[in-house]
Amino acid sequence: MKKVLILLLSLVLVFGLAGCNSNTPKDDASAETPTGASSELEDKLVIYSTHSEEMLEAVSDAFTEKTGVEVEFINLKGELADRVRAEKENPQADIMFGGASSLFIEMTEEGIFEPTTPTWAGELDSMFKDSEGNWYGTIKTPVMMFYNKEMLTNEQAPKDWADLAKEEYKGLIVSRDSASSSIRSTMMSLIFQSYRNDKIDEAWSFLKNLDTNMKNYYNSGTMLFQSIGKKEAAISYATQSSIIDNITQNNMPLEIIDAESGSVIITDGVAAIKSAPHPNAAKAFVEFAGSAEIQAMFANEFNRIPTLNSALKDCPEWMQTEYKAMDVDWSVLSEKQSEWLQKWDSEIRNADKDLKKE
Amino acid sequence: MKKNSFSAILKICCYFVLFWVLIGVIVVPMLNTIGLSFHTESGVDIQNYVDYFSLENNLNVIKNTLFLGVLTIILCGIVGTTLAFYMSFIKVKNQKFIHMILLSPMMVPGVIIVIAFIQLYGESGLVTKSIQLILGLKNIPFHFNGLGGIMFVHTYTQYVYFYLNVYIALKYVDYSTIDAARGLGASRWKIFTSILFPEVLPALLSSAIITFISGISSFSAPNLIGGRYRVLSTQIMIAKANNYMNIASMQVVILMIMGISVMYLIRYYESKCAQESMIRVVPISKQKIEMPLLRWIVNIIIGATIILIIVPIIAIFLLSFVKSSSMMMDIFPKEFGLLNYKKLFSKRRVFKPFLNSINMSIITVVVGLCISIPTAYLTTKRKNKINRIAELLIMLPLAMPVSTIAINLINAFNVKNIFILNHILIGTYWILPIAYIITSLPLFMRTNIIAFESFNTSLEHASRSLGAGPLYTFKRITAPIISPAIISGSALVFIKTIGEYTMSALLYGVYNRTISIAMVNAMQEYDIGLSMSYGVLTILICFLAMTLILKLDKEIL
Repeated sequence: MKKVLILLLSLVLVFGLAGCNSNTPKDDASAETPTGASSELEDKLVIYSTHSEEMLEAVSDAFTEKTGVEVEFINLKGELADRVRAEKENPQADIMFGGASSLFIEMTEEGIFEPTTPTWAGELDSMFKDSEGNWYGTIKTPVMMFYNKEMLTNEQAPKDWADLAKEEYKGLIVSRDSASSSIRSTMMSLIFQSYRNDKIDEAWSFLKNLDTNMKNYYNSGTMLFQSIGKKEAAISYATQSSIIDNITQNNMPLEIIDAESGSVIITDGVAAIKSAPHPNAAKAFVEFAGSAEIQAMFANEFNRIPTLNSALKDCPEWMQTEYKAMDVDWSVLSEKQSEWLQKWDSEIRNADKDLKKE
Repeated sequence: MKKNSFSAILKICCYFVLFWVLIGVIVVPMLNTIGLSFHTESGVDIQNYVDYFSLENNLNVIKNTLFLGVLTIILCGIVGTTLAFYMSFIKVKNQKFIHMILLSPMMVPGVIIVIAFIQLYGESGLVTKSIQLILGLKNIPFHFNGLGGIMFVHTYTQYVYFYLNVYIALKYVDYSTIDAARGLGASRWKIFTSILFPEVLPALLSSAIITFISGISSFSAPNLIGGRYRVLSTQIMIAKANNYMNIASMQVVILMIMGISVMYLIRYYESKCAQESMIRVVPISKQKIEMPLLRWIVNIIIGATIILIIVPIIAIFLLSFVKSSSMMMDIFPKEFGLLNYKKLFSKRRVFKPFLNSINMSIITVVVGLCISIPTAYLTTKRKNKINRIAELLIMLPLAMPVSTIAINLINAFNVKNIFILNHILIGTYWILPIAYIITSLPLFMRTNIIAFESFNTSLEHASRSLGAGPLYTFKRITAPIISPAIISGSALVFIKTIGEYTMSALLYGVYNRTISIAMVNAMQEYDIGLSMSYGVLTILICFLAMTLILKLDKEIL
């Protein structure tokens, strides 16, 4: 008898809670969106991001300290955009933090963001922001080639992206798989170089050769750097900050390549999400995360390059020297990215190789 | 009379709630996905399917997936069945201990096994490099990736189904029949084919269903070590991340068709060769292997198997004490300490996923029982149409690969849904427990049906006719008899839920990050040590649940 009662009680509790939980955000949202008059900060903020836990923790703690708003965050990596879209009808997150500008451009068209007007917006170069304030680029993330110095000499190392397809590097290259948001942007930028010359087929054949040379695609950065560190492979490409992290923290003998045609420089954006549960806190966070102070903190503690010139002066010295940047029109990428990525994933990668055991 | 109408109303309410839940969370989401798979740019047609099947790459993916499923059945079947026969017929020292070890892969979540395997058998793995050093080889002795790697993981994690089911089935073999057959001059082969095989066949078939479905839906193994071997479950994820939900849905439909058709094929075969099960009279008497050479060979094989099973678990414990950065370049880690555990227990954010997983597993067990106990009770009492439909619906998730269940839920619950009173569930806490409950229902249903079937209803009648009320009867007669099976079933669900990765990865949000997600995340952020200490925590909890099962369920021992 007791057991039955306990069961029933817990059932009531369970469904009771369920009711409350799914109710609250909706009520908040409907109360806030039409007027937006009240500017008092909510006591909570939810961030969906592509940044590392450590970095998110640092910015969240700083934000909480300044405003008293509690911050919850998750790192969704390559699935960030997909998740924000899936929740469009009932957003659970207030902030989309990280991801390439091409994604932000595409999602702006889908009407997912709530425009904001942070105080530093005017200072920002127009290539780092949406003209209507839907999103702002606050971090420059170069994706660069690198190699293990103990395996290749400077002469032997590739000089440019095109070299990666050369026969001599067969089995020496490793890469993250398409779950990585930075690799997605990199692949698209490489395709774009041929696309704008109307020679997109060249891009596909380059990627096919690259795939032939590829020793392995890894699902995690750890495994990627492990394989380079343990000399399973010599060459790879990754975000500059992760390469530097592994040089400084894990003492890896890595050398960064300043590619002749330039490295892919992703602009990592931040945006407030429309009809989010905590709109005022979201606005405050955009203002906060893009400020020169936080950009400089990211630069000094996490090797992330700022987009604001006023932040740059307080940054590590290496950031002052510019690497060559690949010329990319991110608005074109935003139109083409789904199509290209799907083709790369399902037709180019591993073509004709399935079922063959290595 | 009054009492009767009350119980009739109760029954109707019960059915109403049951079908509301089953249709709302299983059937409608499934139909939704099927519908979405026909959405194209130009409207609603079969163009997605035409395009998909016209590419050779895609056909290869389907072939790969099927091949993986079949191979998983075969390998797990061989390993699990052989071990079960060995443990049932041969005299073994430390029988109980070895049995525990053979069951232990059940306690280790799949993701953590894959990560541990990479650290052990990967190109620079501890075992790989050790063998290379010891034998002085120029190249590494084996490559742990692609189909071979996936199969190794699948065999490790899933042979237990065959092992356990066959082991239990063999307990119901009447040894006197074997003795009699032998006395009549039957050969060993004849005894095997005409006595033992029919007895274990149902166990083999039901294990085959489970291993096939989990084989084709496995995500972490192909994703982490599959390399160039591509299967549907990974392609679904890619299409979804590339914002092609209709293509992802179509792949889900293909996967579902695979699962459901194989399940019903096996079920059909099962029903054709169903036979009365024996009532055990004489237990199997275990024998020694007389030939010394054969005994040695068998001992070595079994010894090697046990080592293969136990090494990854030891590795997880060991690596959880290693400083993560020392694992990036050194092949044999040098720096040990309690660092990872300090991090795990001192930071609220780091510890939270562990609590989330435990909470959600408990919710899954409680709600799962609330749904499955009444249904099992009703279906075993009376086999009418409604009950049969209810049973069919509850068992349906068994044939659905877990990633398809998750995608179904996303498609159904990212807009307001009438079945959950016009709420939206995506991104909220409750979406994950719901997914867990759906996948655990078949398991609950099976253990509960077994419990109720073994329960002799005449006991209930006797109690009632002696004047005891229904509640008193339930408390004193029914509950004590059925509860061990139900509790051990619940513990099994708990174990399976706490380390679940595939659905969690698709559905988790800010408030319900699970331990498996935290594990993979730590792994991705250069923190292998932390990832392993999450693994240790999970294994310990599962070990407790497992001990509970072994204590309650005498059959398993």
